[in-house]
Amino acid sequence: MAKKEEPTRPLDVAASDLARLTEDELGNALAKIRAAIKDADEEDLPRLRDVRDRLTKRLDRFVLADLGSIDRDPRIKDVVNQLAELTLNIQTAAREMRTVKKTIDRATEILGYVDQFLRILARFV
Amino acid sequence: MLRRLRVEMICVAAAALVAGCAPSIYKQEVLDFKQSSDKAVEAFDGLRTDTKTLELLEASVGKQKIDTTGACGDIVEKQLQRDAGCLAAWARYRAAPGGQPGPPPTCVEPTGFYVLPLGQERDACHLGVVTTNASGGSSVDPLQLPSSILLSETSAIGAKLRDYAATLNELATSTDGEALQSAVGKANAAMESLADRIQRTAKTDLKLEAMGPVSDLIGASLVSALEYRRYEAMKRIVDRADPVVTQAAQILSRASVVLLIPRLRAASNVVNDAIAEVNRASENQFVARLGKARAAVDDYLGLYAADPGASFQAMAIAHQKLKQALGDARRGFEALKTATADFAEKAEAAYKVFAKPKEKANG
Repeated sequence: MAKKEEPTRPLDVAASDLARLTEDELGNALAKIRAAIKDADEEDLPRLRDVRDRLTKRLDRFVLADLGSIDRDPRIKDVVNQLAELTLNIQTAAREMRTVKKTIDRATEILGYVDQFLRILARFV
Repeated sequence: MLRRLRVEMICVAAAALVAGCAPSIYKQEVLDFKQSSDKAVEAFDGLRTDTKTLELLEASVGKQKIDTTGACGDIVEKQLQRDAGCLAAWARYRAAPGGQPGPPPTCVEPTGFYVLPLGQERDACHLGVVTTNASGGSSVDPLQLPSSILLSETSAIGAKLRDYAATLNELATSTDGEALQSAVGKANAAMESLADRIQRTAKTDLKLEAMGPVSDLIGASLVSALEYRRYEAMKRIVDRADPVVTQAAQILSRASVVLLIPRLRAASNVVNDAIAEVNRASENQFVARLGKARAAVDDYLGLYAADPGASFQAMAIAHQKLKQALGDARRGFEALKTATADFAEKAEAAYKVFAKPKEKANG
């Protein structure tokens, strides 16, 4: 069983404090606020939820900024180019497959012609 | 003339004959398996719903505080968010213009696949009764809410079994092989007609029985030729593609986990609120609120278990097994089957949770 942290007193965090906190500190504050919410009374609950929701929004904004940076990684462009090249190769191979399929159809067609030819031949033999 | 024609036919057939054969797939058996799986799981789900109702009534005896057994949801802030920042810092470092990126980030960049540790979070997210020990400390005992753990595990197994069977059936009913067989079937029919015509026309010693194997041989050879060429092309492409597919899957795996963070955090807040509601419930409210808390935990874990990062890892593994099977079909086929099924399962789970309704409708 995982060890639980001791419940903490409700935090008194103002909006101005939130702006100064780093990503890690915000995360720790959110964990403490959640622990406090579980045991909070009716009076404290709305304020704690408000702080939690503001922490959540702020952390989500960090995620959006991180995604922007991750998206600009030059490795991504390399992989996209390589995949595009491979796709072209596969299309060529698929065209070859269709050619083989056509060969089968043609063989069928030729056998049909031979059959017709022999039908005509039969009238004269 | 006819003897010469016969010899030529045999030569054509022999020239077309190459190694390899089209694998036959047990279509009917797979369809039966899927339909039976659907029925069995639906029956199980009906039984499970009844059991859950009973269990909630049991839990309502005595008003007790509940909580999760561990720090359910904390992984988002304590690990995922931190790793997202680190991935971003390294990406910025590599993207710096002019080849002068400055000092590298001090954090260790997550490499390879980023797969959420499901077992660890499941352990932390079990709901249980809060008990206080002699020294004033508290712990959460999930055994006092007995069947909730078992039911969440088993219901997931049922759903996944159904998904697996459905995917298997789709594989077995691929139309490509049928089109080929149909073309060969036509060739065979034409050959038999031709043999019949030769016999009646020329009144020679050429027997219909003798033509049968020749037409079969040509048909089989044409199938083999196509399958062999398909095999060669696939082997060549898959060999080249494998490292690229792996790298692409790793990137998508890491990015998708970062994308998932806000959704996990929101779901975790819902669990947080639901637990607070249970702990402030009157005796009459307790059962209903506990049910909501359970549903909230299920939603959170459902989101977590649908981890798209894991499905991208399964994609890379399935592709790697395909490459191995193409290299040596005798040793690689079973592993390919397993890996493909695993990929289908994980991709479907992620699709169900994350794909937009419009995309689903378009198929």
